[in-house]
Amino acid sequence: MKERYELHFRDGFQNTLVDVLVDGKVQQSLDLTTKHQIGLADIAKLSIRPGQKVALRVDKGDRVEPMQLDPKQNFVCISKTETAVAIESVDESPGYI
Amino acid sequence: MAKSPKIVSKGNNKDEQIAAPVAQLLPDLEHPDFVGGIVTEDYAASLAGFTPAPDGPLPPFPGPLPFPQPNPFPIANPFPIPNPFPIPQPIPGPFPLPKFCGPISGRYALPPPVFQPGVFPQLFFASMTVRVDVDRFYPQNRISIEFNRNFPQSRSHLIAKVTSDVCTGFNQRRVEATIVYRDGDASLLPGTTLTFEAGRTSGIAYNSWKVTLKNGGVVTASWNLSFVSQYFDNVEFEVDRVANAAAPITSYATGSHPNRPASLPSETLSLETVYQRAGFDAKRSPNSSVIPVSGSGANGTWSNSEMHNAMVTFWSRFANAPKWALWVLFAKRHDIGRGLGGIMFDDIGPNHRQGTSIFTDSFVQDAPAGDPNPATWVNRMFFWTAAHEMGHAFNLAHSWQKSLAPAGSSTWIPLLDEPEARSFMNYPFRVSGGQSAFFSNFQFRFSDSELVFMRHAPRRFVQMGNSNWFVNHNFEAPEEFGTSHKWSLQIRPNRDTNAFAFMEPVKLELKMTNTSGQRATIDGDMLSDGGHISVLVGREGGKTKQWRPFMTTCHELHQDDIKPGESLYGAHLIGASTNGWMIDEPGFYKVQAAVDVDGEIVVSNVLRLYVAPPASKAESHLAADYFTEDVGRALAFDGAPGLVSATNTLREVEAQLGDSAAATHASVALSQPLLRDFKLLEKGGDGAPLEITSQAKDLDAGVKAQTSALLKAPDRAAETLGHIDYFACVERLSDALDDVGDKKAAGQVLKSSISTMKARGVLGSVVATAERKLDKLS
Repeated sequence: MKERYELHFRDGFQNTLVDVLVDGKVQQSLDLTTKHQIGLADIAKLSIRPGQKVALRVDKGDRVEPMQLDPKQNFVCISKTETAVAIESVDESPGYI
Repeated sequence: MAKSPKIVSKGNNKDEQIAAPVAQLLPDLEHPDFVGGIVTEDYAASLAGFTPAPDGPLPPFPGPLPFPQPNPFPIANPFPIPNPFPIPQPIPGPFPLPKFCGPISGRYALPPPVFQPGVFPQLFFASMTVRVDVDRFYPQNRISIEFNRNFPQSRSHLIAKVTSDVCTGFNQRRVEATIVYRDGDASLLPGTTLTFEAGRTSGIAYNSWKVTLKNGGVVTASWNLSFVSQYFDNVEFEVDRVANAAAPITSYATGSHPNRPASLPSETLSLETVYQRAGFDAKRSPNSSVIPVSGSGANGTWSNSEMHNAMVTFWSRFANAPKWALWVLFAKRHDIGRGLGGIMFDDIGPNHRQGTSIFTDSFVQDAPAGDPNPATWVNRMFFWTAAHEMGHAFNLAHSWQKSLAPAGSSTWIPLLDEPEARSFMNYPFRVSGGQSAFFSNFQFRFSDSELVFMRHAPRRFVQMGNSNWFVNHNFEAPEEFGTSHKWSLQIRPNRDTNAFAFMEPVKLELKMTNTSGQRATIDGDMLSDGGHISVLVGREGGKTKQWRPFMTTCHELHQDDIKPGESLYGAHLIGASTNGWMIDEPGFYKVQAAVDVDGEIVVSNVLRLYVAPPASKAESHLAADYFTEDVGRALAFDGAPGLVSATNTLREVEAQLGDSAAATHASVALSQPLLRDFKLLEKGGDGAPLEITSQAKDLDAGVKAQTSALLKAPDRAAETLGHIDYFACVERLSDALDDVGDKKAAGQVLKSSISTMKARGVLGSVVATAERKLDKLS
């Protein structure tokens, strides 16, 4: 049975290219810009098999950010600063205003 | 796949109109956040002498005290004074006079100018707004000044932080402040500190206001002011609803939910109240209506572009222009889904931040499990969301985004993020402890940094439709003063680029168009006679000077009928003036004109032009003799043989600079007088009186030189002389030939002129006039 997640790309993206890697292969490529009035760039849906490893690669760089996903927390909030990518999983769909 | 836009039409369901709530507000005086004025410490100290015991209670204020206009609010208990108070016996005397001052926060402006017919009203070209923020709701202890000079267009803005605020007598108040922020041309508001004084010369109310700028204690500028409003700006918002959305929630009873600050007064707040307390004279438009969903297609959700389209169609005040107005739409659901509770959707097109939406079928209606009063919680959350989205329309970012700004784009005071702020601009569920912690300490207000921005930032940063969302740039909203609704005035060169060669006399054309939509009757010569126009020229980085024409024509007063869309024209040598050359050195210049049309000042565009550096050593060598008042005069009059030195200089220019633009002007000025007998006023010898002599015309030489200058390269000559002067010169040449009976040559000159006119897109009516003249020669 597949695990389904929503990846909420939030603050800090400005024409940022993000690859979602599943077991090292690019499953989705996103060109993200945060819409400041709601603090959200985009929401991507992700479907994986249990045990698959998910990671993010930003702007085609060498560095890959591994994601620790919990099937009980299906909503993953991702924000980017100049030096890091912050990833937080929550169990309720985040709201934006 | 992109959705097709919804087609919406103006609703007409008057019975469904959205009623504005009746707010049951706590009177300002009873509100703990309202500051009704100040009492000087001297008074409090003097009263201490009456206390029966050290540190004992102070006596009550003598009352009732009359309070000043424009705002008649009495002081709302600025010091906690117990009552009843044991009055000492016997009462010591004399009782000190109260040093007691009512509120002064609000907006002030220069007094309206007094128009004097016939006097060109230079002083009218400045407007000034002073915003004083030291009392009333949430005082930020700031004074800001906005100065707009409309002609030549320049602006300055400063914000000063209050360092002292003293009541020196009954309604005699003096506020000192240090300037901490500047934007625009600082020379318009020189100084490092300012003083704002409010006083009364008679009666009990404030009736005199003055702001003074100082530098090191020395006064640099001072203005008397008029009181305008207790608010810093006016704003209007319209609330519309899509028919399938829930009813808009635009008010909230603050005491209705148990989770609230203990100090929060119980009252019914409206959205107007929220923004009034933020400093705006906020009014809700009576034009609220319900948008039908018919024709919106099967898709019931809204995209940002669909909402923008609806705003353009439905909002009664929509215009692609900056203004203090915004549209608030309550719709059912956004394309993003239930996760989007509201959005300031308007970052489309040239005028951002005019429209916001609140989605009634969204997570906002999901009260937390176990909430003691879920219905009220939802009401509060929708009210909060509406105020929040409206805040974005004032260019307020989220509390955790304050430090963000696109690199190099922000000129506002750098802000720190406020992730824990209890503000309309923070997400309640994002603070430590979540929404419960937020609302337990939320006072239904904006943060101090947000209030400083809304009240005192340059208005283009804040005003809806002005600076782009999240970016403090874009154009300045034109001030209403100087913007005529009847006429538009343009100053321009007749060429593709605004670049001029070194020594090329800068001739510019004025065009004023009747934009009123109605016929107008004015003096048709007002652009050419030199008596109605004023032109200012400034080299970038240098001083701005007023251009003065060499000639002003006093002609019989006449009125001409100007139809809608018709224009008047005039051309002038702006590069030179009776006070010297205005445009001589290489570099960039700005030129702006204004015309006095029966007391209404019509201001032109600001023309930026470039003067190239010298193209040869000969130009550099001749420049010193060329840039003299006499040469300017000879060029302006198309020749002045009596100015011998200037004439010799023009001969040198013609001889040495070949095909240059300056040589063309010189040739025309040298040869024009040859076409007619030219009168000269000369001194007689040995003290004899002045006498008029005549220089006989030399038609052959004149025609030869004029033909070479005007017709050999007509396009180039028309470009540098300007259409009006060029075609007038060619016509004079034709007339001179016609006068001596050479109709054939006169006709050939006119044919060349007509051909050039057509090639350069001259008005058809002008071409037709020339063609009629040509027909008569045949």
